[in-house]
Amino acid sequence: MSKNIKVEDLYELWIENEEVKLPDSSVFSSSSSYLESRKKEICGKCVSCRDGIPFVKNLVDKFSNGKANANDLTIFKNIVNNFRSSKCSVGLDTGKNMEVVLRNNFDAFQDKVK
Amino acid sequence: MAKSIKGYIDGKAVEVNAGETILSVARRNNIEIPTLCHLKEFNEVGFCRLCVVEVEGQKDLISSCDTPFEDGMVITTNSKNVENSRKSVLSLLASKHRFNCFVCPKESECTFYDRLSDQDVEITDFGSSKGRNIGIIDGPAIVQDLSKCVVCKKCVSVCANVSATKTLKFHDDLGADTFVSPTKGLTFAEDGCINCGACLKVCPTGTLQVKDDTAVLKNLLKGDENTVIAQVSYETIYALTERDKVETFEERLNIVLELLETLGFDYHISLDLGTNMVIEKQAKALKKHLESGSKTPLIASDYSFAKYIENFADELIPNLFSGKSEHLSQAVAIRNVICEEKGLDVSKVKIVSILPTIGAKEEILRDDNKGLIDLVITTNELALLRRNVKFNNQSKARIGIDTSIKKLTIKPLIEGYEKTNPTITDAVVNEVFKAKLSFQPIDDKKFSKLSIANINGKGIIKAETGTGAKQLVKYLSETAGHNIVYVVANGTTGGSMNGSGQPLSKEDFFTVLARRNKLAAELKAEVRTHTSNDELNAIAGKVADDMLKTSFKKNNLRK
Repeated sequence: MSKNIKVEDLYELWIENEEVKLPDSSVFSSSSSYLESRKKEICGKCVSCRDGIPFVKNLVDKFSNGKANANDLTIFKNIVNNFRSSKCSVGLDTGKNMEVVLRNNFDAFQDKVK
Repeated sequence: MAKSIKGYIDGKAVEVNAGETILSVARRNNIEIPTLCHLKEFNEVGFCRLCVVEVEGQKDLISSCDTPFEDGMVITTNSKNVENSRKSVLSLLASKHRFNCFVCPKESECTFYDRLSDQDVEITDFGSSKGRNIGIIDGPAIVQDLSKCVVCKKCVSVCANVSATKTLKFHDDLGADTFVSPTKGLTFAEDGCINCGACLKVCPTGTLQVKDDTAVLKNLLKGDENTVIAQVSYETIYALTERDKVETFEERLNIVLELLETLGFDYHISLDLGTNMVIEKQAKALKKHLESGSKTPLIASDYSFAKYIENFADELIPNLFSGKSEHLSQAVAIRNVICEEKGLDVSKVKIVSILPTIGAKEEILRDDNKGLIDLVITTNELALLRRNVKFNNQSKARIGIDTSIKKLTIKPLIEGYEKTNPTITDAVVNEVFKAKLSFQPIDDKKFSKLSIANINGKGIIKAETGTGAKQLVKYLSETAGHNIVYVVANGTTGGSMNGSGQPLSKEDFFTVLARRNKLAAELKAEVRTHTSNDELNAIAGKVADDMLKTSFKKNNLRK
């Protein structure tokens, strides 16, 4: 597992290797900065992407700060899965990469739940 | 159109017209797919993602309102994935919506609330919200509360395609912080709004709402100092009582009068006097116009249509009928003739018009009209007051009215209601041409909002909405010399019967319109004349012509 894995490459890498994951030490910082960078791409039209990306970014920060509860984990899963309903690749790609984070770094999120 | 494409929705075999969307096919086959931003033909954009469906062989969900049905598609509208996605998008929208439903004018007619309810969304999961944006854009007739917007873009679509003013804009340059409003920094009026109310009709939340003047009304009615007169439109009487189990016009009128009395009004009057005054002035103006041999028509319009001309088609200003509208003409008569005859102190008289449209709220503030009418409230505002009175069944006692009284104490300023139905236009045409009107659509798609009637080789055009105003300009230039002498124009969406000031309804627009028209049709349908009532005629005769004039100005907002 490389320390240099970028969130934006996760889905592509996952197609080759289903076990691919971010290092647990950087999962929150990498995800947060990835989602922050995606905000600039938002066109503002469809709900899933426009409201979903900032929402998921805030949730990741909440986990990172140890303020998330079990319900936040459920919401996190639902909103990440919901990127599949986005209108274009900005939301769809964000969702696919975050799906891999959720799938393969799930323990890191679970450990942060209060 | 030939049905050549085949596919399945929820296991049901369907036939599809070429180019038809998945949503359209589903609805045609009685398969329900929830929507929020969808507005047939105007806003099929797939923004809200509520109408997503699953297509066999695809992992991503697609929006059904803007995706054409392709041959062989197998669609599922109710899978777990689809249901979860719908809940998620609604939850995201809810996380940016201010839920102050207890004071929201949308009350039980909120589509967003209905969707949250029928998709079982738990709002508590997302906490309370101050709203997507904080701020209110205030106007004399329309108010926008940015904290409730779900950015569905319906209002932007109708503002461009129905009103044709493009006042409301989709500001997506900020991406995640996209919002809808007039041009940044401008009010509705400064950005060309004609108060047609099309946006109010389609807004799925309470974001766009009629300016609520009920508090101002309560203040006017407080104490004994003022003599408050209600000018009541017929459309208000029908719409306010449409769900009451009553048969006759008198019973409907009684319900309205009892409410007005409970609220504290001293007098009531129909709009018959004002209507007769307008018929007389307009018929006179049309006769004069015909005698002048003018090559362009006289345009008789409501306030919204005239505003469109002022804003965007000012070359037509000289053609506008320059008389005041019914409720303003009547207010001139009340203040200058009736008060003296009835021994009322005019300085203490407050006149409140209760109307089906919202433009009048702005109209009474124009320089020509200042001081004539103190307040305009819409039928919907009166309906909200009625609901509160009903809810608060002690209210009559609370405000000092004996609940046992049967005979109303609110007095008619002039006895009786004419109870006549046909329009001012019918009456004017009857008076000038001694003929009945029969409009036919113009057989040309680019003039979809215009219809035409021919009388003795003279053309009369009916134009509707701001789009109709835009088409009228084009039509007149293309048909110069075709002897169009008179144009009757209505810029208000829904006209009077289902106008933007009438009580809101989740029912189909045309269902509501048909029901109210049916109630109105119960009244006698002969064409009225302005001289049929001697008492009204005598009062109107005492009002000087120049007091009933109104003027128009170029606003140079052409876009």
